[in-house]
Amino acid sequence: MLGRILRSASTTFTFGRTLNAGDLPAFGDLVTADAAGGPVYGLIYEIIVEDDPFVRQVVAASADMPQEKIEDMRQRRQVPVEITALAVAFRRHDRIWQGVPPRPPGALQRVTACDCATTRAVLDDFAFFRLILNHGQAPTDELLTASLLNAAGCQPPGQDRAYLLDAGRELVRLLAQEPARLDAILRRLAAYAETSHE
Amino acid sequence: MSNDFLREIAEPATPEPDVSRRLGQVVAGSLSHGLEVLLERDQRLEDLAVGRYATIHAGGRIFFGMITDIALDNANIAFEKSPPDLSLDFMRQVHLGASIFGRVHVSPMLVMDADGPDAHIPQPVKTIPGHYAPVTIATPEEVGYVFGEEGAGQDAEGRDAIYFRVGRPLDMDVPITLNLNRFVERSSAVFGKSGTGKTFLSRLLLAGVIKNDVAVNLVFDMHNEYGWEGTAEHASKVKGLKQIFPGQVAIFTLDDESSRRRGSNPDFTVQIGYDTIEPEDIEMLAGVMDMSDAQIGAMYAMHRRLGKTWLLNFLDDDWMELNYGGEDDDGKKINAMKAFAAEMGQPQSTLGALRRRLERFTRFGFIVKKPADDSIKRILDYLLAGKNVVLEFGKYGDDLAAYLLVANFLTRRIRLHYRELVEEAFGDEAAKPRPLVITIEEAHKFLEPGIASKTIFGVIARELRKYNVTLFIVDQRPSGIDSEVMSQIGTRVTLALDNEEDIRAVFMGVSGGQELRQVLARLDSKEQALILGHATPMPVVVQVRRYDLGFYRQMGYLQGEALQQEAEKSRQQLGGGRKKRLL
Repeated sequence: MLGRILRSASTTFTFGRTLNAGDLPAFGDLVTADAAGGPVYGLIYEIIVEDDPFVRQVVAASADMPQEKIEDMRQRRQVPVEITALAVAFRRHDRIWQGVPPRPPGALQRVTACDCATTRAVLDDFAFFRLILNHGQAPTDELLTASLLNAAGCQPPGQDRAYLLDAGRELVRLLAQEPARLDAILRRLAAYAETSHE
Repeated sequence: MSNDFLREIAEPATPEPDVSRRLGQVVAGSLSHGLEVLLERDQRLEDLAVGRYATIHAGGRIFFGMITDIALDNANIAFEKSPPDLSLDFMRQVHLGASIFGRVHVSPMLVMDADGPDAHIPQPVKTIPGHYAPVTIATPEEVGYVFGEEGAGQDAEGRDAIYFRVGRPLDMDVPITLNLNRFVERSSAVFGKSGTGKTFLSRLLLAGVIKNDVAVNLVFDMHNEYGWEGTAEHASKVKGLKQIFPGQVAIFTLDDESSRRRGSNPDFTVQIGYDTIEPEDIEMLAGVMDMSDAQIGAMYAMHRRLGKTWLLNFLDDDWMELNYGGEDDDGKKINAMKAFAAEMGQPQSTLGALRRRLERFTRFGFIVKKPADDSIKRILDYLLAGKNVVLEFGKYGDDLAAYLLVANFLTRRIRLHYRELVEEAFGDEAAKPRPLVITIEEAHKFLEPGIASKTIFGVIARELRKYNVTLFIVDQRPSGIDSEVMSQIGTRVTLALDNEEDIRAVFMGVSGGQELRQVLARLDSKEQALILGHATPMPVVVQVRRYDLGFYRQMGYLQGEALQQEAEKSRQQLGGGRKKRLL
């Protein structure tokens, strides 16, 4: 489990966790949150480590604090790390649908990481591109790139390049009117694709 | 450049992978302007060419069309101004076919129902395939099916037809045939700029007509290239029609000396009597001989007054002096021409100018006072017996006036005779004379806008096959031919043309002509032709078959041992045991 839902909306959900509960999920990772009717899948686009009064005092009081105290403050702090994901798909009737879920996950619902099989099932259909491109708050180009590179890493051996080629062509279709933006994304994908075969 | 280099280009060491037939999909278009086809990602533009055929399977029908244009396109004009970096293979693979792509223009020509009562009968296209219908390159089998096999068969309307192979498409080894019955049914034409092989192609088509006996031919052989040996640019000599069909072709000549010098051994020397020439025979020479309307009027006036001998008398100084000269009562010499002009009611200056022009005829050795034989009758006898006539002009071929005069003179009379025969037959097809095809070169001189309506050639072109006479026009300036006549030309065989006006003229009255212009403009300068019209189910670009020994043999030409065997067989059939060698 990565954490529990703090708050949610139709298009995004935010969950919280402590810093020391294992590795932090990364930007662009696919996660799933339980919701009424079935799980909702989202791509992480924001990770926030908030301050709290103790941290403020410690940082203000002394610049060269002992390492033990820093670790103590990290592990015992009262403010969770907030991670926000963009909802891109949901499961209903044993089928994954790309789009905004009918209902967002409820408070304190569990959020877990997706394995490669689920990542492929959700991200092999490029309909989620539009959800990302149309979202006004997320760093869309970076999120697209990161999610595609993650998904490529989940493809069976030797098929990551083909996946990225198909994704690139779909991006051309969607971003043909914005060549500079398209080029920036494709160059990132190309860097991965060209090295993955070496 | 070494031979190895050329060989490498022609035969790559690593063969290309088998390219799929799938070309792309229909994305836009109309019946009047053709179809836009977006190419498949892996379809290389470099492998395509205008003139290739494409098939489109849609709605239970098979559409047949021709690629008439090839274009580069993109999803955004910005990709032209600022091309993406394609140095990385990944970027190239993403962009090709997605942001930058090829498209071709396909002109739909024919459609066949996949099933039903008219299944697999090629029909003119009346609709177009729907959006995203798959487009494939036509297979040799499909092309062969549409054009029909060489030999006797039936056309799409169920009529008997004889198909003659004229060549093959540019990119496949399939015979392309012409329906010869349709070819001679209406006037036809071979167009092409100088040096493109008009004469070769014309001779080849005439050989097909003669071999299959679909019509009898009268060829006005301006440059002595059809009957006996002609010269080729790449070879020394090529055979004339009489050498290939010795029993079916006769050579007539206007210049016996020239014909014999070239070894053509003419069957008959044509002579024209002065008293047989009528003003109508000369009128169409007005442009060539720089004759005014007044001078033409004067000819008719003289003909009315003097009858058949008008030309002979007009050019005869003695006759003029005898009848109009002499002295007056005061002993003063009378100006014969002045008196003649007064008698004819024409200005003396007009008659003087006319006479200076017509005196040119006195240098034509074939115009004589008393011909040895009736040339018209002789030609007609041959034609009606089914024997093809090639009229060689010898040295007179260099004189356009002589060519126009003789062609016009003979054609007027022959066509009149055919008209009488057809009218006498009174609808009985069997009694009609066999179709006659008259071959004329430099046709725009006969059929230019100002005079086409007045000449017999304009009449023949316009009346179609009413009197079983049609034209076979060989010309390099189709733009010089009257548009009304052009619209009546059934089959147009066009070699390379440069001039925009000529190209436009070739497609006058042709549906989809605008698109085919691209095809015509890109023909090789030799041995490639665009054929469209009555004798083909759809326009076709052909690599014209070779006019060589193989062709002669297919036409029945015999030489060496084969000829000796045939001669021996004939001798035995005649019951002769003579030992005299025929060779």
